This record gives sequence, C-alpha cells and structure tokens, in this order.
Amino acid sequence: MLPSNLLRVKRRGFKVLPRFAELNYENEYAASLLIDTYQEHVGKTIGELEDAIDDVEDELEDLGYHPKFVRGLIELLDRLIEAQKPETKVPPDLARRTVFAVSSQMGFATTPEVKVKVFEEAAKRLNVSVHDLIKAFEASYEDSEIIISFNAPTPVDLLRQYNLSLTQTLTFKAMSMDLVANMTGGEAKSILRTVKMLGLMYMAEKSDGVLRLHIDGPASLLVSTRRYGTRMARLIPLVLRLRSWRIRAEVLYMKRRFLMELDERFSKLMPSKPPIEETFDSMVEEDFMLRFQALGLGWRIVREPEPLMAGGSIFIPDFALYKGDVKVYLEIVGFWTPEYIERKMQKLLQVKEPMIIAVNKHMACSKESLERLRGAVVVFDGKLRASDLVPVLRRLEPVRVEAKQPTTPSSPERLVETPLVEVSLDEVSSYLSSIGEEPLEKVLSELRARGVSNEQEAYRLIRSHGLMVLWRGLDPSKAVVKRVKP
Amino acid sequence: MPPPVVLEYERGTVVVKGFRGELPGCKWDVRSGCLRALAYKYFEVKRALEEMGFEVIDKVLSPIGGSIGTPHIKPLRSYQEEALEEWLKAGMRGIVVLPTGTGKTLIAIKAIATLNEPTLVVVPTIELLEQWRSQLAKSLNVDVGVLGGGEKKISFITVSTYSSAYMHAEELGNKFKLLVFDEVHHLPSESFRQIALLSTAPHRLGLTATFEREDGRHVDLLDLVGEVVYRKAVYEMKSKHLADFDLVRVYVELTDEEKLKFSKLFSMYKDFLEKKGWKLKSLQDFRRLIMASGLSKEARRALLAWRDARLLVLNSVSKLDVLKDLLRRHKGDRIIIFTELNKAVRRISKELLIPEITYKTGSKERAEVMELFRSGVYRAVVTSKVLEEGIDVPDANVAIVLSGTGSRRAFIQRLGRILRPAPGKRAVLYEVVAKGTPEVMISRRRRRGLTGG
Repeated sequence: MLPSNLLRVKRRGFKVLPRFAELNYENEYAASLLIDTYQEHVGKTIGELEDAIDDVEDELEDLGYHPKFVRGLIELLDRLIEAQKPETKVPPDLARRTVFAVSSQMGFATTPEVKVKVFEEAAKRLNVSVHDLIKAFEASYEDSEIIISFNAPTPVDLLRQYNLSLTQTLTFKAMSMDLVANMTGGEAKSILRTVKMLGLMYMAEKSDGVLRLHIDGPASLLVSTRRYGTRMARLIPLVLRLRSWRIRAEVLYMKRRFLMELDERFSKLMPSKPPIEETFDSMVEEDFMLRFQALGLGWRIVREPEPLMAGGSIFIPDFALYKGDVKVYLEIVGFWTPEYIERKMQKLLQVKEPMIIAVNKHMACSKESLERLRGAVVVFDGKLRASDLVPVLRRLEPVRVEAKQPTTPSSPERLVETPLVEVSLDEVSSYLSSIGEEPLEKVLSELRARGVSNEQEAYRLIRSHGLMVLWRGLDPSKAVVKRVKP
Repeated sequence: MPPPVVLEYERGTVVVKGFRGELPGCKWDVRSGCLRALAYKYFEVKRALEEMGFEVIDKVLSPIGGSIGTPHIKPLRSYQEEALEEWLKAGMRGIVVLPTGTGKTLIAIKAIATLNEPTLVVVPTIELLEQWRSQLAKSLNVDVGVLGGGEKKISFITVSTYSSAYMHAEELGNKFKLLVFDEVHHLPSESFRQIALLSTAPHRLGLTATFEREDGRHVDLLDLVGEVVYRKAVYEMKSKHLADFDLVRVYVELTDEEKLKFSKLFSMYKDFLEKKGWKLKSLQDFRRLIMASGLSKEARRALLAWRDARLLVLNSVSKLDVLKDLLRRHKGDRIIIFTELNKAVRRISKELLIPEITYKTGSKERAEVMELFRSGVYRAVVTSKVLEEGIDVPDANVAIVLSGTGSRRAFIQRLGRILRPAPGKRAVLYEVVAKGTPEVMISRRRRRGLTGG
C-alpha cells in the first residue's frame, strides 16, 4: 500500500484502473538502479542514503520516468531497510538534552564562539571528549541512523509489489467490491473468514457454478463511505491466489464515481502466491476423513466442496460424498455455544441440497431445531465414527439398472438387509416411470399403496428409476422427487 | 400486544429485529434481513418504536462503567459559565466558539464533571492528547484512557486523536454517552465525521476557535454535534482576558547573491503559471499546482523552483542574522520559533542548538521537549506546523514567525499560543519577512485574520 498522493491511475469514461508498471526492460532498469543505491548504503546513514536517492530520482526523471512511479518504488524500498542509532560514548538522548539545556542557559549558539563553548560545557558535564559529545549529539537526529541491513528484492519482484500496492491503494477508495470467482469450498471459506474478521459484510449469488460476492460494510447501506476500502484492499492478496477471478469495485476518486475492473489476467503483473491451502477446521474433521476412507464403503469423500447458497449467504459443508450419480453433503456439528449452533441451524435450514447432518448428542441446541432437521440427522456421542453414517448412506446408495430385479442385489450385505417385498414391480415401475416431479411425501404414500412399506426400499426404488430426492431445507414435507435421467 | 422489537448495536450501526416498516434513519438490509440505521440515530429510532407502542428490548448500549473522582476544577470565568450554561440549556449538545487561549478546555472539563458519564474526548494532535490526559486526570481525579500515539486503553474517561477515533469508531460507538470534540472544525471531513455518525452518544460538545471551514462543510456540524450555542471573537476578548501583545514586523534584505538566485527560481515558477494562465491566490491554487506536478515534468520543475526559492528565503543569511539578534534581545524569555519547511527547522536546530519538533519527532521525544520547555530548562523551541493547534505553552511570551502559509486559521492559532493569560505579561510576536519576495503578500493576508475572529 502506498500513500494516496503516489496513486497513479488510468481513467477512461467511468472506468479506472491502476496505472500498472509493466514488467519490461525500462521499468526493470529504474528498479535495479534504486535497489543498487539502497544496497550500496548498507553501513551508511539514512541521511546519506536520502541524498543519494534524491540524485537517482532526478536522474530517472530526466530519463522520463514518472516522479510518482519512482517515489512509489522508493516508498516500498524504504520498508526493506533496517536502521539503528550509531554507537556513541554517551546516549544520544542524553547528549541532546544536555546540549540544548546548556545552549538555553548561554542564550543559544548565536555565534560560532558560543557554539564551541556550549559543546565544551556539555562535554564537561557528561565527562566525555568534545568529539564524542558532538558525535552523540549528531546521532540524536533521526537521519544519522545507520542502515544495518537491506532485504533486497529482485527488480521484477519490486515491480510486482509496486503493482499490488498500487491496486490496494486504489482499493482504499472503494465503497463496495464485487468478487466473481470459481472457488473451492476451502478458498471460499478462507475469503469469507477474512471478510468476517475484517468486519465486512457480503451478499452472495451463484449462477452456473460461479460465485458472486458483493462486499461492503454495515454502514454502507446508509452512507456511501470509503471507510471499508482499506479492509477490502486486504482481500486482494487472497484474491490473487484464486485461479480465476474478477473484481468490480465502485471507487470514489477525485470526487467522482468510477468502476475498477480487474481479473486474473492482471495476476501476472503482481506477486505470485501459492494457492490457498485447505486447512481442517478441527481435528474431528481430519480424523473423520481418514477413518471414512479406511472403511472402504465405495463412497468418495471430498473435503470442503464447493460453496452452497443459504439464502443470501454462503454455506460450505465439511464434506461431499459421491457414489455414482449420487452426491450428498455432510456437515458435522460439534460441541459449541448455543448461539453458534443456532446460527448454523438457521443456515442449514436454508440449504437446498441433500445433506447429512451429524450432531453431537450433547450439543447445546434447541430441541425444535433438531426436530426440524430430522430425517437426515445422525446423532453421535463424543466422536463421530465413519460407521455411524453407514445406515444413512445405504439408503442413498445408487442402484444399478440390474438392481431392478430384487433377486440380484448389488452387494451381499443388501441381501440380508433388504426385506422381501410383496409388490407388483410392474405397478411400481410404471408409477415411478411416470413421475417428472412430485412431493416426496406423496411418492412415499403412493408406493406404500403399492405395497412398498419399507422406507429404505422406497428410496432405493425411486433412485433405480432415474429419480432423485431433492431435500429442501431437510424438512421431508418440502422434499421432492425429481427425474434426473429420462 | 405485538411481540417485542429488539435493538442491537453492530459495528457503528443499530439493527432493529422484529419490525419492518418506516423508522427514522433506517433502511432495510437484505444482507441481514433487518432494519439498520447509523448509530447516531439510535435514540430517534427507539423513541419512534416506543411511540408506536412497541415493547423494545434494548441491547444497544454498552457504556463503560465508572465514575469520576472528587473534582478539583478552577472556578470558571463569567464567559466560561455562560458558555456551559448555554450548552446545558441546548440539551447537552452544541458547539462553543472561543479564541485560542481562553480556556475552552476548562469549559469541557466542567461539562464532563457535571454529567459524570462515560466520555470520549477527541483531539487533533498527539500533544493535545497528552495535555488533555494530564488535565483530565488532575481535575477529575480519574484514570484516563488513551487512544492514539501507540497507546490503546479505553476507560470511563478516554482521550483519542481524530485518526484513532475514526479507525476504532465501530468499537467505540456504543461505549460513551458524551463526546467532546476539541478543534471541532476537523470533524466534518469525509472520514472524521464518522466518529460522530457511528456513535450512539446523545451528548456532544464541540470546541473551536475557527468554526468556519474553507469548504463550507461546517454546516454539517449541526447534524453531527449541534448548533453553535456560544460564540465570542478575538477582538471582543483581547483586552479582557488575554495577555496584551505587540506585533512587530521585521524586514530583511536578501544578499545580492541570494536575490539573483531567488529571482531566477521565482521567475521559473511564475512563467509556468503564466503559461498555464493560473493565478495563485489561495491554497487551493497551490494544491492544484501540486496535483499538476504529478502530471508533467514541467509542472514539477516549477514546483521545485518554488520550493527552492522559499527555502532560499527561509535560510537566507540575513534572516538567520535577525533570528540571532532576536534571541540575544530576548535572553531569559520563553521563545517559540515557527518556520515552515522541515529542512529549515533542522538547520536552525543544528546551527543554533535549539530543540526542534517536526512531524517526524516521536511522541516520547515531543513530550520530553515540551516538558523541558515548560519547566524552563529549554528556553526556545523551533518547530514546523505541528504546534499549530491549541498547545498549552503557558510561559511562552515571544513568538518568531520565519515563514507561514498565509492561512488565517493557522495564524490565529499560532498567535494564540503565546497569548495565554499571565498577569502583567506583554507578549511579542515577530514576523520576519524578506523584502522584495512574495512573502510580503502572505504576511499581509495573515494579519487580516486578526480582526475577523
């Protein structure tokens, strides 16, 4: 981030973009000239460095580089040096206090003679030589600090850092920001966590698998404000770590509104960062994943899958489980505060996708909420074991075409578990084949009327006829059966 | 009986849960599915709901607990009493306009003691922060919280800089009942106003010597703090409560060599302006030039020429000689030297061995310099602009202005610095102006500020 007087932009109509420094030979030359100057001044004073930099600045300007660009690079390089007060015989602060106090008594150094007397008297009071005193006195001014190290970047890295800083500086002036991106659950989680941590708010939309986050702050609703700009700027490095992204920020610049639009094509001008690492929220989840895989149920498990919509906000389930065309999400609700659980429940009730919710038996959660979630709830005590899920998963297992004949079960296990059903398969088949979309409850009662009394069996039959159960908010009365295959 | 409506505080805003309809200052927030208003509308919102007959569950305020100790406050002067009276009558809201050095701080301290509520005092500079902290602690006998200058401690009575209060506005918003804005003319800027907007505090006091802003935004203060409840100008106060002072202008001639250099630099700058058809009449014009300097090399050259010309005048040998003369003449006095550029400050400090204060001086060092100046160990301080506002230097009786921006406000406040009432004292303000340079113009403009109030 740069001071705003060093901001350089390109304007066109109502659009604005940072005036990026291209990664070309000319700019690398300017960068390397500056870097070399800093490098050469390790061991010298800040004052000496400043004088040298002034000269380089003039030289670069004569060559036609823009002064704000040059200043911007200097600004960034200044952050990479470490300076220290020089070694002195007496502490510089003490020398300064003594010199000024003596000078005050003597009526200030209005002549060279008085000046010498002031130094002599001060040296006497501190019991050091005049030379050492003057050295310590000089050291009390900040430009006498000595540069002890300089963490030199490469010219290209400096230019990339400059471009990022420039983008962030323009984002300071943003009143709101839209982020459109294709992101994994882990990436979305990391970005939303940062949004929340920064005290920002968001509205989410999803279409064709692409997520759009409108980001601003609580007061943005009531006043157009750039208050949140500095915080939005802190999201940029995170955004750069996404593979494909687009930013559209509304910027108030020079008292006019502009749109700043950036996308992944600009990533190459900026520092390259590794993609966002997926981290487990808790040991519970990590442990569960390993155990689930070890169980060898034939279900594929994916952690933090794509974000789901829950009203205007986003819900990222802990896992997605796949088998054949069947996909179900799994959320593990551990032991937490009642407020947390309540918020999570509110969100879960808004998710439209099929979900399994594993809840801790001792969870501080209202009974009503739990009841509303019945149907796909697995209750566990202490730790969720992968095997706790087996009954639910079995109900959801996809059934291959040959499974239409109950005599050829898809697994030996099923042979034992599937009760014999005295039904007319033809009747059931013709009914199920006629369905486009029906409420789940209606389908279940129709099947019961045709002799399918076991609910698990009913689900199996529904699936085997190219149908799918769509859960709406986990309330069975809202679930529908829908055709997925003709 | 309708179900109760819940009011909650959320980062500088107030959210209304369980009600959908018209409420003052409120808008429907789709993000959270509730009505939302800026925190300063809180009491209006609550009143409106209660008038509609709703039961309100109010979770908004989270005031800092505590109380002031036994106060030790100097008796107020009559005009200070009047000002406080007017403010209380206006519902504990509003602005008091009084010249610098007339004891606005005392009015505020008395107001804070009278209300004995969690109070946030907002001040523009680190020096003022220190000054208010020690005065509040002494007069109200409390532990004072500080926000700014690297410190962050929130207490029943807290002092903050404008920047820190802006940065932490969301966190501070529901913790205080009384806001005191020192130098309140800073408040209407786009960012600082949010300190007022994002706070639920019902009671607000603004203090200033210069109510009007060049950009006309002072009208917004009515909404943010309240109306002007009391006002007196410099000339009404001068003989009554301020030390008498003399204003002495000293003209200096540049040396021939300096003159030559100056005219060369100055014409470079002037030619550029003429070519552009610009007339430099105000600070705005100057800012425009600075903006342009970022756009063309030519403009930047002109700006540099102007800066060098100014530095030349400031550092002129004859000016320094005058300064030396004045220092000799005022042996034993307490002197503040103002000059504009930090380079010039540094030069005077190193050459004459006078402690300096610039924007680069760390807060610890600043406090030390001010303390030693107050106690008399240091007899002079040289500074750039940082001392411009309300710094308490009770014993300074000589000010030497080696340059200035020509801004009315700055001049009044600099002047105010040495006008602290001290019985039997006569203060002197010297203005050192180089003959035949544009500085003469600036000085004349500055003096006009004296009678304007």
